[in-house]
Amino acid sequence: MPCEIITLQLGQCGNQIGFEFWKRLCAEHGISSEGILEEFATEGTDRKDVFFYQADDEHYIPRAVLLDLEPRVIHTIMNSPYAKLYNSENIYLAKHGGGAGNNWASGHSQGERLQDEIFDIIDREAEGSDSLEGFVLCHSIAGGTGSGLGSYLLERLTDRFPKKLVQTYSVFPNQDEISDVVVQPYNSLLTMKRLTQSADCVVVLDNTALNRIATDRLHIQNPSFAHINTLVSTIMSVSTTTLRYPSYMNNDLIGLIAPLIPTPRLHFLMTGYTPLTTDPEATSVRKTTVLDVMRRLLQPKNMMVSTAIDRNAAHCYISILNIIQGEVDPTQVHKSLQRIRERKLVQFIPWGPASIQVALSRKSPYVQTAHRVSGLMLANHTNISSLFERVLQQYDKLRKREAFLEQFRKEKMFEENLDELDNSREVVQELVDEYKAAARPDYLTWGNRQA
Amino acid sequence: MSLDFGAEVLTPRPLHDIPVHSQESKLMEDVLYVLSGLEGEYIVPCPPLGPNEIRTFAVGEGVDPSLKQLVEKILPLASYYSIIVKFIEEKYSYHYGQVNQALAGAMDLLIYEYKVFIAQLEMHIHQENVNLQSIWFYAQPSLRTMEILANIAITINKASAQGGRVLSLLHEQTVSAGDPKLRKLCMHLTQAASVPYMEILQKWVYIGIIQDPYEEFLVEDNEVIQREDLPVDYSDDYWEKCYMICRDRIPTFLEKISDVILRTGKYLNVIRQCGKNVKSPQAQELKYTLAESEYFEAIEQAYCFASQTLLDLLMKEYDLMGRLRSVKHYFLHDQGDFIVQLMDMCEGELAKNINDIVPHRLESLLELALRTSTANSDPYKDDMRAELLPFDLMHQMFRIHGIHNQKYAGSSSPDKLIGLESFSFGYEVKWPVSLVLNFKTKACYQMIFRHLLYCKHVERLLCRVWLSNKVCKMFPVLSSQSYRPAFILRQRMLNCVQNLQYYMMVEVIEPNWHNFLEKMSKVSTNTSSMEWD
Repeated sequence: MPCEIITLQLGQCGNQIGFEFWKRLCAEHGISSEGILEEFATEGTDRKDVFFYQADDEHYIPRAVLLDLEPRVIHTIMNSPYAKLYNSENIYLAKHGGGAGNNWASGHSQGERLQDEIFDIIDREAEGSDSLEGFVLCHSIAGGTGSGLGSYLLERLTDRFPKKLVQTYSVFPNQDEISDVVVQPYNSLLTMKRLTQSADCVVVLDNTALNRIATDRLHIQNPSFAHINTLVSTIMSVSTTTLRYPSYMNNDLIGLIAPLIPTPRLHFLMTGYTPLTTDPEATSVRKTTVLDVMRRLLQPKNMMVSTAIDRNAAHCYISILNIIQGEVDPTQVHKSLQRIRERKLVQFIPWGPASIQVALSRKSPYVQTAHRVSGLMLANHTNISSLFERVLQQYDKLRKREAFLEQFRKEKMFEENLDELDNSREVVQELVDEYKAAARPDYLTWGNRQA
Repeated sequence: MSLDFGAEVLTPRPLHDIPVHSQESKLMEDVLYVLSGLEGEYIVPCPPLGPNEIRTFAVGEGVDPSLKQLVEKILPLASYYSIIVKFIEEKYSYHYGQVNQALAGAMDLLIYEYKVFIAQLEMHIHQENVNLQSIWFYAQPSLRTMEILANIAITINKASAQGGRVLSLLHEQTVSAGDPKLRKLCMHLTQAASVPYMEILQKWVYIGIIQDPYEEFLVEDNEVIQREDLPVDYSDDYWEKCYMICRDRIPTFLEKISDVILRTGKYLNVIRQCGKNVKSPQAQELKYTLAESEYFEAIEQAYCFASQTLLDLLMKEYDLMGRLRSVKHYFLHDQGDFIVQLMDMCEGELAKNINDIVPHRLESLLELALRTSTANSDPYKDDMRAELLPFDLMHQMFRIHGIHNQKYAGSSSPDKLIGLESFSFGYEVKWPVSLVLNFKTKACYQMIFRHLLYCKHVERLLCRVWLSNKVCKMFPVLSSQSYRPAFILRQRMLNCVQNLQYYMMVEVIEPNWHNFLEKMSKVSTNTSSMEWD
């Protein structure tokens, strides 16, 4: 089978969203919580083998590797009905179970120590697939394990599998609330460097925006992790839907990602999803047409990334892919695109051809939805740089005070100096600059003058 | 023995020495002779000037001018008689076809009536209560009838018409006849003559058999081969060539409906060849009338039955739609994961020169791809074949459009083609689905497929470039910027090829497919499925 994808879920956040993701995939493919194909799903024409493989006894087993340095979340998973779904050999818990103490440096150095054991699992999983297309990594960039161990894994994955794709679903911390992780800005910055240099495609999931969406759009007073993770799992499952329900186009991950990312570094994608209502009554009064869906996808309030409005720079879209699901007439798509173009609802980069790409996809026949049409947008927008700028600002604030650095200095990487932090800041700054430059017509020659 | 006059040249006896009052009775006797096809003493036939010319007669010298005038008025009847009997005698022979035979038969009956009239005339003459004047008077109705018959005979002879042509000519006569009596006569003749033709027609539209030993029927049966030893592309020709309309054999009154007639029988034939016995349920007798709607309706009905039966057969028993869906999966790239799978596996093989490719290997790779992708659930996947065509798509198109371009002529040598340029799918179809998915249709599908495949190949190449470019992330910004124009060019190309694919697949193929499905769900006749590319 071609185009298999191995999912690596790291740390508390990574494992939680991973758990939701697999729950959802199981529902969509008609696989029970124990990995057995339900009666009604035996005739399916979907491709389960992208994300699952079949064990000797017809069990469907996720191509997933669960990694954590502390046992809490993994224990929850192992006590859930889905405990038997996973291959227990693919669950790796650090023996000491002490976690990374929300410290990037600790997570990173533990990764270095544990790499043999971890890569034993990953290599075995990779060898088990006929033609592996890539890895998907779920983690948060703020904590210790997801960010630190995640960063280490990213570095190694590119070394070991240079021709494979590495996509990440990276959760960015909520900036509306004060984090209990004081070193979060350091963690974020150091992870950002790895995401820039080692990941091929980063789907940015901004907790700020996710929380806002949950409260404003879904009317949940105090959104829990579970709510947020449902949103995330929706994004993850829909963005892989063309792989799992094959049709004319976008049947491999590279064909999905490559057109979104024109130059290697600009690989941070925002997502948007609509309709976002959990209330079935609200849907009955709203009609969802392709145009509605596409238009709503362009509204900032539906975006899962909160970006500051920067009036100085004319930000624009580098690329857009809309995955439209449901009963769609292709001519409607054509008309909607035309309408959007006529009304100039989208501003695209001035230096190259760009337009809204559309992928039409089937829906899972086993999951009932109230909406006729739904859509996911994957977009590469220069405005994402404002998110990174915020990371830089927070880092600078903390760094200026030299606050909380002693934890980092305990680890080998920072023993002698803090060059790694400075270097990371530089890399992220360059990324911000490049994104800003991409909004200008002279992006093609940008950097020449700099030199 | 002919009923017509003999061929020898005679001269009439002069009447100089006969007194005028006796001349009339002599002439009356001779008139009777010539009216029944025998030469008289004083009136003798002249040999006809040509085969289709009216025979004239010579009357002996010295006849009273007024009598001569009367006789000459009556004599055309004899001329007509001569023509008609000659026609009848000739057309009775088998090689003029059944229609001519039937017509001759009908004429023969009329001649019989004519002879009764002559016999009555003779009786009157013997009873001596008639003179030439009254003979002429009595002959009036026959004269009209015989004139028409003779006219018809001459027209048919001149056109050397057979079968359908004869009926056309008769139909014209019927339509153009103004006098109701004449019209009735023509009608009678046409009806009589059309009986064998209509019988053939009935057999054709109700059973699908042509029984036409003299090649008169408008549909021509070119079937020479037995179904058992069908050559591969038999069905391609079959639909087009096996049964053909011979334009000049169509009777004008069937002209409008000739296509329907052709198709009706053709469909029935197909059904029969599938081993089913068909008989139209409402087989009514077809008869020539002036009100064409009568037989039109019957034929129309037979057509509906035939096409409905064939459609049901194709759709239900041979699952035509399933077949087409399966063809769409492969040829139109609808089953994308299979194409990806196939290209992953065959890329190495297809990059070679076609002479170095082992077809067998390609075949087994194809099979593997079919079994390991979602195509596995398709019941018709085993009919897929890998083909290596000795020409690339561009040359195929050039050839179809008849473009002979010198510039490209050089590169058309099959030895230089690589696998990818010559690769195409084949699809095995069996009778009767092969009627729809015939060689031409398959070729269309193949051309679309090859084009899509090539686009896909280009997309994959560009994606591969993208993959090898991704290492640049690690480079310092300063050194990576020089690659940027190349990246952007690559992106333009990728953008272009993906948009092209999207356009072809989502905006052209898919809507057309939907229209097609919609039409097929409504369709009650077969024609539309044949017309769809």
